[in-house]
Amino acid sequence: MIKNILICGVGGQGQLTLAKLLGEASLRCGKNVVIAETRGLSQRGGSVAVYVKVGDEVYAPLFEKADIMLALELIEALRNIGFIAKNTLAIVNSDIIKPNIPGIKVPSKEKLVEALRKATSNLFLVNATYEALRIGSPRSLNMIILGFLVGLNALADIGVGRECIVQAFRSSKYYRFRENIEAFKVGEELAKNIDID
Amino acid sequence: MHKLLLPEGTKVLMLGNEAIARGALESGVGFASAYPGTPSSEIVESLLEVAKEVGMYVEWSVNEKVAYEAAYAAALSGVRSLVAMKHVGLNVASDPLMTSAYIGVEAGFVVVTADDPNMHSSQNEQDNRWYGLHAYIPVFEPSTPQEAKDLTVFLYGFSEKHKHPVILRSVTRISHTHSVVTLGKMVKPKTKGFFVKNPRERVAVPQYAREMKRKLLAKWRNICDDVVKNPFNRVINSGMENIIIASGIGFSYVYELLKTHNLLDKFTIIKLSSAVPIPRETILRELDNAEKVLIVEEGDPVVEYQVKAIVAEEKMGLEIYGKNVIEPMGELSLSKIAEGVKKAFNIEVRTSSQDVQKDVLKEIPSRPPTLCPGCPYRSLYYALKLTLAKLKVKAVFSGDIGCYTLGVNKPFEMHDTVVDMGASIGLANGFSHVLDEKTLTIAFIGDSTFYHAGIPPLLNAVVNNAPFLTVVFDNETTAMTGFQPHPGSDKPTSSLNVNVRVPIENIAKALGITETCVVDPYNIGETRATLERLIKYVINERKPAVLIARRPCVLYKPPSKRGIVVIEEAECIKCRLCYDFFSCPAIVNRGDGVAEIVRSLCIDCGACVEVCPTRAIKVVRK
Repeated sequence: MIKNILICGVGGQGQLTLAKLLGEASLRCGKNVVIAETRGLSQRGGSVAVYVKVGDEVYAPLFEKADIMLALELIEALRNIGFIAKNTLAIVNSDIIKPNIPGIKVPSKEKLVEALRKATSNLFLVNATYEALRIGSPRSLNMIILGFLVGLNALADIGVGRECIVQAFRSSKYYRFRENIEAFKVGEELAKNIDID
Repeated sequence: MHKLLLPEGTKVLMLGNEAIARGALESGVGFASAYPGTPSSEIVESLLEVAKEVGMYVEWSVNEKVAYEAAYAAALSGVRSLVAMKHVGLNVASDPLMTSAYIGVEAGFVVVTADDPNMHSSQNEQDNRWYGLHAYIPVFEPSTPQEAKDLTVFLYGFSEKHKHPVILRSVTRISHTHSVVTLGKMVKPKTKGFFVKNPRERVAVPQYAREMKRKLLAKWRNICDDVVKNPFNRVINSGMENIIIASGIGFSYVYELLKTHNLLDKFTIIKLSSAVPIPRETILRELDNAEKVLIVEEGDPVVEYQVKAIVAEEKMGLEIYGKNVIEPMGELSLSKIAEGVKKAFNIEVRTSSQDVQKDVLKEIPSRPPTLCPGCPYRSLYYALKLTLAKLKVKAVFSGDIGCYTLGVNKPFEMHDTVVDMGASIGLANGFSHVLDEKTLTIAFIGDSTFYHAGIPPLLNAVVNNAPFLTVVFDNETTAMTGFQPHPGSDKPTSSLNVNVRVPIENIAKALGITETCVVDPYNIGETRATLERLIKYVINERKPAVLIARRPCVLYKPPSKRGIVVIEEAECIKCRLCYDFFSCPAIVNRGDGVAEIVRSLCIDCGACVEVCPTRAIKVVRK
């Protein structure tokens, strides 16, 4: 079994860090993982998509259908809607970052969310930008999304549990442990308090 | 401990480029050089991080040609060496590449080319495996990061055995893919060598080169025979009528596709890491019983043409499919290969790409990469745009490669050509002679690009009196590829850890440019005045001039904060200058035309203060 996870957002929001944490966690749970990244030119505030594949045997770096989408920005979630199927778990930051184009017109939030709801019956909107600012750590919004994913226990079926994620956090100073773990826990709490309608 | 130095047997999450670097460390490589370029930069970047500890020499060279030559000299002197570059970098290094095949090597010499199919961060998607056929240099391509490491180790032995350079061809999805790599044993590097004088084998003058070519052809025949024994080529499920030849990363897609659909027993898969030359005996043996062959490779039909040549020579009658059933543009994908399998073998493979949402919202705005908030290049473009408008001068903008290429987008739209590194000044040498005298030619070039390939064309402009203005976007680092140092940086460029700075103005003056000015682009008023003077000089004197706009990249060295940037709502006259014409991503129209700071993006550099006509944008001390 292979789990395809698409991480998308705007360059600079921390997609690579999020992907690497997932990768380190998978490795610690004895899984194989392949992460195909966007680097270079596309990082300068452009669209970024990172492909994470976890499983016992993984070879090809790219996929065309995501089992899980982690979107750090709402427009970018819509840009990648072609990866979503009816059963895709989509965890989407509800914040919009306007593309830096003079006179740009952006569709309304309601319209964007409606299109996502049509695409998947498994959508969770998270106000991660707000939560990250609230805890005084705007750069940790990626960890709020990760916490939400783990709070839903969405990686349990491939054997990647919470302990592996926490171990991965501890494995490197690079991850700004205290700040990130706090944001991660905020995400977890949000997931646990969700009303299923 | 650095990831690259972990002990044998450790399983590590590694980038393909780091795996290649570790492969070099497991081979006792004593010398590595490169010029940065996506997707190759992390190879030498990570080696530089550990160079001191392992005791090897590593450098950022000024360009790929010099990097190639420097590493080649090490290999000629018996020191194992590696040179890395992006695909288009090998064009720059192609001159030494071609003749190094004639001369050969003493110690193992691996040339890493990181190709960029789909042009994620490049001007073209050329397939550098052609260079192998062109130069008589064998090309190998890995299917995973693990294999990239193991293959690197194998190639040092191969190169030494044949006393010949080898090319390791990576692609974006190897170089920039993290996966689990099991480490091998490190070997202490040998950094000092000895050069044996032997002009007949080292000096490519015609009388010796003819003999060298004869030897090269003989060597090539040996290499063709030897790649049959390459352990990274493998035949899976030999003897079937349907054959898939999968080279490099193509194997990863083919294997996963067939495995997940339980189709492995329907095909013989010939997994290739020898892309040039292909292992003739292995392929002949399998094709003997085959009816149909599909060739899967990322890029051009390099393996396909070689297979077709074998089939023609042996007068075999079988159907060969390749780029006629698999779209040749861009990267491979599971569904592209499924489509190819269907067309070639009439076997349906249903991929999950059929389940996904097909209605894509049409009105989703594009999000091109953009100059960062506080980028000094924005201030420079803004000043230049105003200056040209004031002087009513028409200009052609001869552009180049780096972050400043983003000036092609709105609002500046000030890039008229981009060809290759250094071509801004190169093309300006032509534009300025053939365009009418009322059209000013302006060459835009970055600092690292200037050192890389801007010096000869600027000298050319001086001696041939080409009247154009060169604007150097100097942010004191190679920003686009991740802040690698260059000759103008305040960081050492090699493992010797010595910082020698050669400022661009010194070079321009030494080349004979009498009008060379340096400005701080944040000072828009001064930049405009200087630009105005230089533009008039070029137009009136018909001579070249150089403006160097210098301020460090804000990601590399954030500007010192003088306070918090705020916009006084009452003083904003909704002129739109700051968000639509200066266009900093950290300033937006809040809806009614009034400008608003985006707190999460603003770095409080204050570059926008001078842009506001009513001074509604202020820096407030905390």
